Amino acid sequence: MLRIFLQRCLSAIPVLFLVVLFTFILIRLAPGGPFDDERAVPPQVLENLNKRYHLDDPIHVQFFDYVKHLLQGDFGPSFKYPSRTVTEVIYAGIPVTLELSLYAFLVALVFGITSGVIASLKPNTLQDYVPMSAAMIGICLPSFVLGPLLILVFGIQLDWLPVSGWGVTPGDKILPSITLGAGYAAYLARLSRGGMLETLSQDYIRTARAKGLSGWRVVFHHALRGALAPVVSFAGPAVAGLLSGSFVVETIYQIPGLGRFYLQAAFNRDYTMILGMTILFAFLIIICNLLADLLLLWLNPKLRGRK
Amino acid sequence: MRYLALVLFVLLTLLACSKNEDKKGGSATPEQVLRITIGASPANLDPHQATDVPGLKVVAALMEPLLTTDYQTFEVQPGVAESWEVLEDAMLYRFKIRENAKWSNGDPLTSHDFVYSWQRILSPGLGNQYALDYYAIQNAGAFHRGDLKDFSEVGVKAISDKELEFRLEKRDPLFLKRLAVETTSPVHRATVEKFGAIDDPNNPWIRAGNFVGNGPFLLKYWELNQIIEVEKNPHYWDADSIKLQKILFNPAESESVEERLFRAGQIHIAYGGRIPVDKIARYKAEAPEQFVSQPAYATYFYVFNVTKPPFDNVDVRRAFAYAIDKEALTQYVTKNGEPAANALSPISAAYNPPKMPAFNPELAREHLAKAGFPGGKGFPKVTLTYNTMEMHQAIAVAIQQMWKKELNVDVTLENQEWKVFLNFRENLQHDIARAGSFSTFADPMDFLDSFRSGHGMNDTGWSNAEYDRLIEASGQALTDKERYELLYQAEQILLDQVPLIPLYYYTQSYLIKPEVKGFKFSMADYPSFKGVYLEAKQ
Repeated sequence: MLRIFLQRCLSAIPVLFLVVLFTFILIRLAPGGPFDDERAVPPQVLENLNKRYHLDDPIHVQFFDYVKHLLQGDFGPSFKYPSRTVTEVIYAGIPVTLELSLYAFLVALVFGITSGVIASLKPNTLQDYVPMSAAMIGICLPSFVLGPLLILVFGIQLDWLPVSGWGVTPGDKILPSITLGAGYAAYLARLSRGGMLETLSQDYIRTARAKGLSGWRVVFHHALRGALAPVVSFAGPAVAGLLSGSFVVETIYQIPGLGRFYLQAAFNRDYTMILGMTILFAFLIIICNLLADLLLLWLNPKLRGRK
Repeated sequence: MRYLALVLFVLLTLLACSKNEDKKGGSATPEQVLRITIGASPANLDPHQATDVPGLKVVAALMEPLLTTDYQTFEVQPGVAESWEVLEDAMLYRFKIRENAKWSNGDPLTSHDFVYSWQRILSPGLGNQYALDYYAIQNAGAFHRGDLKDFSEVGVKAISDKELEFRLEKRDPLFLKRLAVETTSPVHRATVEKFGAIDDPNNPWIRAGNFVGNGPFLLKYWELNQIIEVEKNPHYWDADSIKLQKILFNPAESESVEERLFRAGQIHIAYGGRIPVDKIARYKAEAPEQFVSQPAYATYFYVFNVTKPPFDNVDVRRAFAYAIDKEALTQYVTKNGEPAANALSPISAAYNPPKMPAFNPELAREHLAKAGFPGGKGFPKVTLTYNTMEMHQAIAVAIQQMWKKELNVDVTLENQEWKVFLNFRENLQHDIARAGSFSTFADPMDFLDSFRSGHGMNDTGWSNAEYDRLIEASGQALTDKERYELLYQAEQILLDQVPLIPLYYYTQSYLIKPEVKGFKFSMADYPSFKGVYLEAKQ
């Protein structure tokens, strides 16, 4: 397992390098620069700014300068927020994004697996149809629809929860976590239902039942572990998706997480910020996938022997 | 089941923990804490670098320039300077700084602080975007271009600790107004130098904790995309007239978020400047006292590219301009009470601009026929380009239909992402493109100057020697009357030659809770918090 871990870590290095290279080239290909605005910047000022940020150097010099600084852990200053460095912005935003993703993931796990298991116990009955229909709706309903709906009902009509913010007003973390987690909960519900149905038909479950074990024990102790394999395979990319895909929810609820910075950076042509965020998210996605793979190996010993 | 219960427990605990966090003071309800939205999160609060409207709204609370503006009449008023003299045919300006003017750390504020601040504003490396506006100051241009290294040769001098002098090399009728904008506020030398060089654009002196300012409020908390907290500055020279203890500036990226925050009672004022159009009628009907609509000194217009056919022909441009029913546009599309515009400069008490012919389909068809396209026959396919936004699209669709109906010409619509669009327009790749202009000083010069030959914002390729001469001459006029007369003549040429079609004057809409007293909305959109207070709810 250690060998697999090290192999995967090493192979991540060229992947990250390619991510930096392609992002660097792509953002420079996009028309418009970081200092363009409706009120045009006078040419003299633009020249000064380009000189200041070394944007007047040849592109390959800029690239190698960037990589050199990157290796020293320096993501450079932000073009849009001059009094801050990209590293500072990441440090400030990452706890928020991680916290939001964690809560959303918990929402997804709890609601997803519970409803999946409940549905699988009596397939093709009302107990199956109700949670699975809810899951189907959850998959179809994007967060930019669900978010404002939840706000309308719980924030404005019932006045139970705040409509925006993060850690500012009591309870303001509840709606964003549900909004972000709902779609994943729906996927997890369908996956765990499928996994459970398959596992419950296995011989060892029949054996367990034949031995006279209680229904709950069979389901939770024997069946669930086997049924979770597809859920775990999905969980790795799901966590990565939660981390990098939270910008819609962050925008709806005005949450100061990284997703919003990422999106704004692209619109602002904030070159250093785009690169910094892309590298960070690429890194997180690689890590999440690696962890999911390792978890699968741990759950299913049969996989360990395979190359 | 045990695991499930454990996970549920952890989840509930975490969510419950979030209830106890109140680090930004958001839920506190002491008296005199004003909560206000300002549009997007400010990019910068450094007065010499901030350019975005949200940032400048916060800077207005933190900094005070030499002069201030009466937001109704746009006349300059005393700020940090209690009085001033204009000498030598407006080539020399002398200011007397208030004896009791202080920095927020208690240091006295002197004219030397202003000299240092002007050196910073004009430093080439800082990249101040308004530096060219100050080229009238003696040697300011040479210093800013890097030709002159010694700032003592620039015409900004401290005569004594409390007397400051500006010597100009060229008359500038807007000079006093420029000194009344937050972007010319002084900065505290020791603080700036403690955290970096004078011309370092990444200097973190402006961060909360480092910040020292001279305005009515102090910066207490500022993280990007989070609520900005400012607190009353006890050292402010006019602290008695500040009744608010705190202001919480809530960045909200869209007008729907602002409106929701207002409806949920999380803010007192939705001050981003826009309210969702579909909500306006409801506020007007159900809570008219909470809805404020105010004209802005800003114009929405379309620019032609006059460097290539068919819009190199003035008759084609006139035909397109006269075929637009602007009244219908504002009544049925924009729906926020915008006045239709037949001139580039907005109408003010001081300046009433000339007008181009209003909607006149007959005249439009005549001009199109004169250009060789009677009844739109043989007219080439042209494109109208705008930056991606719902409202721009709605306007473009309406105008596309008007051109089809009145001129029988087909215009294709194309939307582009903001920066792509700016680049496209600047490189004159468009046929017709959307544009907008906003004046900080409520002066027609702000609009008309942009259409001089070769001006960086003249995205039309249009050039007219007589126009350039009149604009140049207006800068040397000794009286406002004479200046406005010259600008009037210039604008007549512009409207006759139609390199652009003015469509309407912007209005800004805000929402305000009845318990907020003394808050004045202004055409310039920058707030003044003097005399503002919160009354107990009825």
